[in-house]
Amino acid sequence: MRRALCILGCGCLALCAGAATSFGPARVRLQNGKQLDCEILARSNTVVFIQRVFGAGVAREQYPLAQIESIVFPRPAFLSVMATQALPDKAALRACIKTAEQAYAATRAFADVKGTWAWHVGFEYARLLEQARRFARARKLYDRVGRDGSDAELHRSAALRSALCAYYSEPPSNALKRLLVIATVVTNDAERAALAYYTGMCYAQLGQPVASLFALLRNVVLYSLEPGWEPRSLVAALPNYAVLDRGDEFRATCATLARRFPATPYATVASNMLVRLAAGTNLSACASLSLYPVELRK
Amino acid sequence: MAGCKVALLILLTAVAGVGADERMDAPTLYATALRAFYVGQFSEAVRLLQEFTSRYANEPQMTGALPRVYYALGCAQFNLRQMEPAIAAFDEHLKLDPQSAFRTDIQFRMAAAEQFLGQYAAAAAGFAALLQAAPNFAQADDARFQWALCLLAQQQSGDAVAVLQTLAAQTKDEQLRTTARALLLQTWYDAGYHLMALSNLVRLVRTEVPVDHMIALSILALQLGDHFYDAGDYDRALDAYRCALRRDEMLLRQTRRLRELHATRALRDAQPITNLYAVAARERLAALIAQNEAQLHLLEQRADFDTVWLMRVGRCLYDMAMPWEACLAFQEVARGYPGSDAAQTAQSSLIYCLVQMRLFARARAEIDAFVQTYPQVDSVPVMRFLKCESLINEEQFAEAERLLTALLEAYPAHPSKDRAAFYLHLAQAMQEKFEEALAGFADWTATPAYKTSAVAPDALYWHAMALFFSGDYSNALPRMTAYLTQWPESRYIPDMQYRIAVVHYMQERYREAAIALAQWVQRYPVHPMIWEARMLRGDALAAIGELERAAAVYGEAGTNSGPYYHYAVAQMGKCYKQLEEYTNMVNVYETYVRAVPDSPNVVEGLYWLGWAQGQLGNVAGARESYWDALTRYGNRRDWWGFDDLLRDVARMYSGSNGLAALSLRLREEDGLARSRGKLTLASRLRIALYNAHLRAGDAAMARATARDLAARFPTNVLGADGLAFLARTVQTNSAALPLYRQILVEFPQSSFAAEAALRLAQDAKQHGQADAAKRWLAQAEQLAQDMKIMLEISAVQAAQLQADGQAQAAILKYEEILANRAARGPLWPQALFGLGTAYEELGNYAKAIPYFQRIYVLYAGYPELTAQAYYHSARCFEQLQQFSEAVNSYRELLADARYQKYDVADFARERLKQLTAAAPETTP
Repeated sequence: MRRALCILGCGCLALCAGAATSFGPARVRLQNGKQLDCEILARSNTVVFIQRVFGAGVAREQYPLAQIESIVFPRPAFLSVMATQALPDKAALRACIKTAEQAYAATRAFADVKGTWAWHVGFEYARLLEQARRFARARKLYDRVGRDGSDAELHRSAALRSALCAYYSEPPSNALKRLLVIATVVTNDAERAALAYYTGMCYAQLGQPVASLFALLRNVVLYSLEPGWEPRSLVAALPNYAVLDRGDEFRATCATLARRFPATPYATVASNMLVRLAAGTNLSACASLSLYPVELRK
Repeated sequence: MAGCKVALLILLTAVAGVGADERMDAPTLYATALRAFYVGQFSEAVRLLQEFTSRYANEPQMTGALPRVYYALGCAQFNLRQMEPAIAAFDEHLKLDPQSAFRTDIQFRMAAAEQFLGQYAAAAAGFAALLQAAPNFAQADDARFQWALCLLAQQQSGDAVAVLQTLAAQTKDEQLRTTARALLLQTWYDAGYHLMALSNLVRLVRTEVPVDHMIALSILALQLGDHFYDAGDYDRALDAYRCALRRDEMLLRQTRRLRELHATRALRDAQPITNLYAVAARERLAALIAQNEAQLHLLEQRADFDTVWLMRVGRCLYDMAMPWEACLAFQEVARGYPGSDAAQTAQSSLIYCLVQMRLFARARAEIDAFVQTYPQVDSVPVMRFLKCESLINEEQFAEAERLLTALLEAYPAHPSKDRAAFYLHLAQAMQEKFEEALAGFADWTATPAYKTSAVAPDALYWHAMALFFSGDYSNALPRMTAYLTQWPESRYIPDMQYRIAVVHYMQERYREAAIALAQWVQRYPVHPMIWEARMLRGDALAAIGELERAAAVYGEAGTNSGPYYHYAVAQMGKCYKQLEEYTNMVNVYETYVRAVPDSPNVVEGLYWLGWAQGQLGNVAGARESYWDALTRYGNRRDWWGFDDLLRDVARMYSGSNGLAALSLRLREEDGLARSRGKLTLASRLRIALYNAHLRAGDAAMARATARDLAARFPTNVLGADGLAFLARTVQTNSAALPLYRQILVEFPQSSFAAEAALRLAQDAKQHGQADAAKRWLAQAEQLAQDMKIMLEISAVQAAQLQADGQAQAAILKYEEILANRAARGPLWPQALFGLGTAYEELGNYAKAIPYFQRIYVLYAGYPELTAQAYYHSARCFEQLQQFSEAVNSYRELLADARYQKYDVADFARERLKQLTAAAPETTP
């Protein structure tokens, strides 16, 4: 029966030779060490159909997946473009997302085979979604990459980005759990700085100002050379100080923002807060997160 | 160039006939040397070129070629770092061709060679001259850089700074610019221009940390930070420290950088060398790799880099009064590097920060970890003391006492023993363990070593306070008075003066109290105790009969006095009541009700307003005040005051028509409430109507009202009173239980909660659920607010004890009930019956009988109990062999038709038959 189906499959391919969409050129490595440069025509759950050129002739063959060690396609153009292309505006981002979607769909056909680019493409696709602030979709895609991809660094990166997306797409308690777990796999200060910020924001939203401060201020003490995180963390610290009624720290932080990060929205907010306090506003009136330019889950 | 070739050709021709067969000719020699040079075989190139010069140096035909030969020779020797010969070769070249096209290149190489040989002055002069002569020379930037290095080697930092600044500003080579800037920073630092170094360092790293120099810059950051810290300039010190990267981040970046450089080198090595610039580029790359490897090696040797850096940062932050940030730095050392030399210091610093920040729970956790990790270090006693102090600060006095006692036992010579002992006695006083506290304070004050203690004013203050709060005013007063003289600057003086006034009051010296309080209030108008003092002054004046002055003092309290406002109004009301100034009383309460309409205490205000109006004969006004309160608050499910107020307003409906008028008003308000959707209020008015019908003797109407209430009003609009009413009057027992449960869930604080729990207990007991009954009963006991319910609970508890076979305990409970005059209704006969049966169980039949007799003599209105009493008394008589008395009791039971429906009547009949059959003479 199986043989009949294979023959039938080949027959169909033969009939549709002119019209079939192939998966393009690839190098197939078999379990016995043999290497075949060919064009991938089609696949089923268990078999891959290829076409090889021999001089003037062309041969069509099929190999069971169990015999195939890996199929290495050329690096997708999408990945090369992603490495070099800047996205100047939202229209460019949307166009890039569309391209990514197509590239992902194309590479997924062989996602279960070693050598696939599917998860690398998927990761970049998810990054674009994240950039477009479609965090829930991005998180799901990151989770898929992390679960099914075989590259260790890709796993790690996907897990990290998924946890960061969780901040925007899940309740703070769930997001916090994920962020705390991911803290064990970060490897550089840029990742630690992002983690510190989002962990601090989760704690703030869960009404734990002390824990929030101890997370956020890591970006002031330990990761101040990572661009952008220090002023964001300082401004996020302000409502925590207000909740704890720490007026001295609140004012000192406002002064620091105004002095060290002038002409930024953070400095503007900080200066405004100082003016309000000087006018007699109670510190507790400055305790709401919504008063500050911080990242909040919508 | 063309001339050289011609010369070579001529040479070729001229010596063709001469040429040794084993020797290369000049062009071949030269060409072979150059080939060797270009493939990097510089030694071979040198050998061949030296061969050339040794053969043809004095040949006039070679004059044109020799300059090139010497140039190539110099370059090959230069590449082999044979600098002196290279310089000689270049010299020869320049002698032969002073206008050489390679002049600038040669000058550069000669200066570089001198630099290599350590002849820095000559090298610097050479570079300077070269740049002067050929400022646009292709390798001018390199030349300028090397010139700066030569100046630095001669300690001419000032000159080097100028050169490096020019280079950093002018060069287009990114790498060279970064290197120049990095070197400039170090140069500034070495030259003592610390501010310049700092500002440029900050600017450099904030843009992007140059990876080839980040380790050197991080080390420089520490040096700069230390310099400014030692100078007391903490802001700048922190700016400097924050320019350093963490060690593992630097290792990560440096390793990645080296991988990139090695990959670049591998690519370049695979390509042939086509010109000198390619050689120079390779050399520069090699130097860069060597520099990076050296940096990496340096960092790998500095395993303590992070702890050193973090401790400096933490110290700086702490001195800048940034404890949160300092905590993080110390915590990072303590947690991240627990085995490091700095870990212990970091942990103790962390603890001091947390204590300072009043994050006491965290501080205690850290102290526990410290003591566990470093049990033998000298600072452990101090840490344990800090833990105790934190408990005092958080008012956890019991735990503080326990730990302080242990601390003083473990460390009898503790450096803070005076403070620890003070805290211990303070903790005891706060727990009202006055005996221990006073004994402790007495010891403390008698200890000569503590006379100069920093906490002496505190200890003496709290000693006096302990006496005060224990009620020992006689001993408290002299201590308080002495304190004022002994510690006139103490922060406790205002409080002490106030307490002295209070002592006067408590010892009924009201005039002295009033005078002292008047002075105190004037002296300390914004003291936290100001309102309490004012109220107390009013009380003192009232106590000496100065009611008008007292009322005026009470009148000083307004809504700004917080909880004292209600007290002040109540006291003013009492004063005016006593003075019979009812108009003033009305004014006071009218003002009060207007000022705080939403206060839960305003009900009391309305009550007194109504009362005062009543006193003024304004019954209508009084009634309206009460109705105002009833309708304003009566719709709140959680309001308990409806019944009390209604009872008072009902008294105002007197006379023959009073009840009818009240009923009419109730119906009117009920209709109004229902039309406005105020169902809770309407339900309460219905209950009031029910009671009015009962008072009027119209039981049928009352029942109809109750049924209507049960049908119309869902339970979720009823208050606790409504639910209790339904449960008691309308519902069957099984339907009442959910209502009682609802009371417990929704109104656990209400006065009906205890009754609800009690009924549930009784029901559980009836159904044999002993454990559930006990739980409900315990809850009822906890919730009970009035005596009647408590006595009912006692009755059920007694029955439970009796059922558990604890007859003696049950007897005690029953006697409690009988001793209480509030035990009315069926409770009394139930208690009597319980006592009788308990004694009967104990076999004390003679004692049991009188209890049974009292029931059927005094409480015939409880037929079931009376029947039981008859039966049990007869049984007791039988036990005492008093058979005629037993027979009489049976006969009395059987003679009354009311008792025949009870089982005991049948038992009595049977028993009587047996007795009369056995002993006919016992029957009269």
